[in-house]
Amino acid sequence: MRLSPALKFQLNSIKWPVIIFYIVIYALLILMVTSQIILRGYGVDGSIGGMDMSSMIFLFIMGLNSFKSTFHMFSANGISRKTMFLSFLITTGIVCSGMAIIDSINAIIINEFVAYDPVLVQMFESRYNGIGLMTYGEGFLWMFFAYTASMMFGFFLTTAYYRMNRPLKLIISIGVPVFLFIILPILDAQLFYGEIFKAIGTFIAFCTGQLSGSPYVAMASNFVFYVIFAMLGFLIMRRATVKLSAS
Amino acid sequence: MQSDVPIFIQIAEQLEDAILSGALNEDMQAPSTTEISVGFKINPATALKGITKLTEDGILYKKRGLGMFVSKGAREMILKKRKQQFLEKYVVPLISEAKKLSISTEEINEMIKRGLKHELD
Amino acid sequence: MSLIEVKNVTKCYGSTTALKNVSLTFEENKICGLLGRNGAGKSTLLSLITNKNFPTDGKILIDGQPVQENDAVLKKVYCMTEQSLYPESMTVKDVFKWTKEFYPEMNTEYALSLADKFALNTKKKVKALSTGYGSIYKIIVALSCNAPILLLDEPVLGLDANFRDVFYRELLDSYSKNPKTIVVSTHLIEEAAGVIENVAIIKNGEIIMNDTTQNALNAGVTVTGPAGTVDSFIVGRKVLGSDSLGGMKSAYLLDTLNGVSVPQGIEVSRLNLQSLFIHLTNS
Repeated sequence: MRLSPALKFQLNSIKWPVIIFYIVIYALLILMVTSQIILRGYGVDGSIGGMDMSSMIFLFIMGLNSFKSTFHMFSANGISRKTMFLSFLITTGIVCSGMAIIDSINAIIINEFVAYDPVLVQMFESRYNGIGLMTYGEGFLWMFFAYTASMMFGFFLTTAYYRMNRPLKLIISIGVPVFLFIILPILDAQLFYGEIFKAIGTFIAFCTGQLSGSPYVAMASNFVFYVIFAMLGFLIMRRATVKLSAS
Repeated sequence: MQSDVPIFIQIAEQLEDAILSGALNEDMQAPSTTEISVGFKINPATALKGITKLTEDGILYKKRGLGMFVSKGAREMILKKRKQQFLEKYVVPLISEAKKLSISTEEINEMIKRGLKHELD
Repeated sequence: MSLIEVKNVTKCYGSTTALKNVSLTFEENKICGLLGRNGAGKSTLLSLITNKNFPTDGKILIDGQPVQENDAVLKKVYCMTEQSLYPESMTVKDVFKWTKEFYPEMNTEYALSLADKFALNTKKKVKALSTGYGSIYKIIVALSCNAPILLLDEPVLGLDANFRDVFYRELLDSYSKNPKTIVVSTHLIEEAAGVIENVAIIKNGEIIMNDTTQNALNAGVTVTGPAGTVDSFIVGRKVLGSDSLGGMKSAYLLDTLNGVSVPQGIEVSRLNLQSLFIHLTNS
């Protein structure tokens, strides 16, 4: 298998976006920490948090960007779809764990200056009295599973989009939001007495571990989503083709 | 490149022309198949066919490990062959055309003399 | 080993059949021309050979191994496609660098020297290249990657006469020194005629001729002469087509005329690959 050059290429593609992302993040953090310190001087106590949410969104977008140009590049260089998928899996693992480590370290450092709550703490406040090593440990794990799920979700979406023809893309792009935000609520209100949204809410609460109060449930459900999106993505990309330009 | 003579024969003839003109002398190395292929923009297999023909005709010989070289007496061989071809290619059609136009033998000889004189002028 | 076998391949796009039961072998270490008009199916066939798309039926083997999703076999092939598959913002220099990663046998010095010959600025991004240079950087990759199998889809598209000349000479030089299996797909027959050893002609998704160039050209003759004389001579013979000008006519016959005496006024000459192609592929 020609995994090595494929992996090298994918990691190289993501290198600069990650660097730029962290430059922006650090700039923002410095700004926020500085302003907090200043505010504290005026007696205002506050906390900042949720930087890892940005990482999740960033990785989701990276997942979205990952397909077409990489697929074309690999097709031009004799790399099979199997190898491409495998190298993407490994890339995801490396990048997400790397970023989870960096974000955890960031959290530790920031907490030296200002009260900082990573998303994990924001979600499971009762579990964490103050922030200790355990928090960071679980934080890292939680981030890793959340990040990989985000990235894989992006991958699944972009692969699905690649295989859709134009009319289908239009239907999905308009249809799905319309269904979710207009039709479903109306249906729910009129026919189901709000049961649908209640069920959706319960499901979300369960997945994010709110229901049980355990972040490990969140991690497990993220992992399940990761696997599902990965499998679906692979099944879809298996039959992806390089379309001939009009000739 | 004309289209009515196979390319490999054209190659052979061009090499023969080079030998006749003295550009390629006896015991000098002939161009390699790569050089011919690139020079004439033809497939190396065709170039090789041309060289093989000349080798079969005795015009070139192979020096093991070094390449193809011009045989001794190659020039004479080619001249002899070309003279025979001259007869077939030029004299026979000339006579046939002359007959068509009812040109007499004396007229033909006269024309040849005139032509030769112009060449010497 | 670098033998390509296409076995009973059919490719349908919805209701259109791009390739109909195509069976073909590209002989090892020979230069083969895949000739066909625009839209005949050449690019489709090449994309199936390189795993960019899948046959609806049939299979393709390289060295006896199926091509589909087979990394071990695909790494032996480099295909120069008409479309650009490299990231738009990548520089030519980086294209060379990454090609070396995927094809370790690539000769980067040779690639850079070719870039000089073609006056190509390797710092330019792929998207900034004009039509001709869009082909040139891909040609350079193909010529220098040292893959045992080279597939070239319309390599000289957009190239001026000088660069076309350079291309053919470099191709022959490289091939003569390091034999490999080369397939050149083109509709520019005349220039390619001397270069290709085997010729496969594809028309409307079907192979209508597959032979050595020699045999293809020896399979018939051109008879030229006064129109009337030619017309009576060709009665009952397999005629591919003809051209007329003034009172003169040239007829292309799929007949060797061995032992046939030719009437006065008629000249017999060899078939020209371009005329053969044109008349075979005219509907």
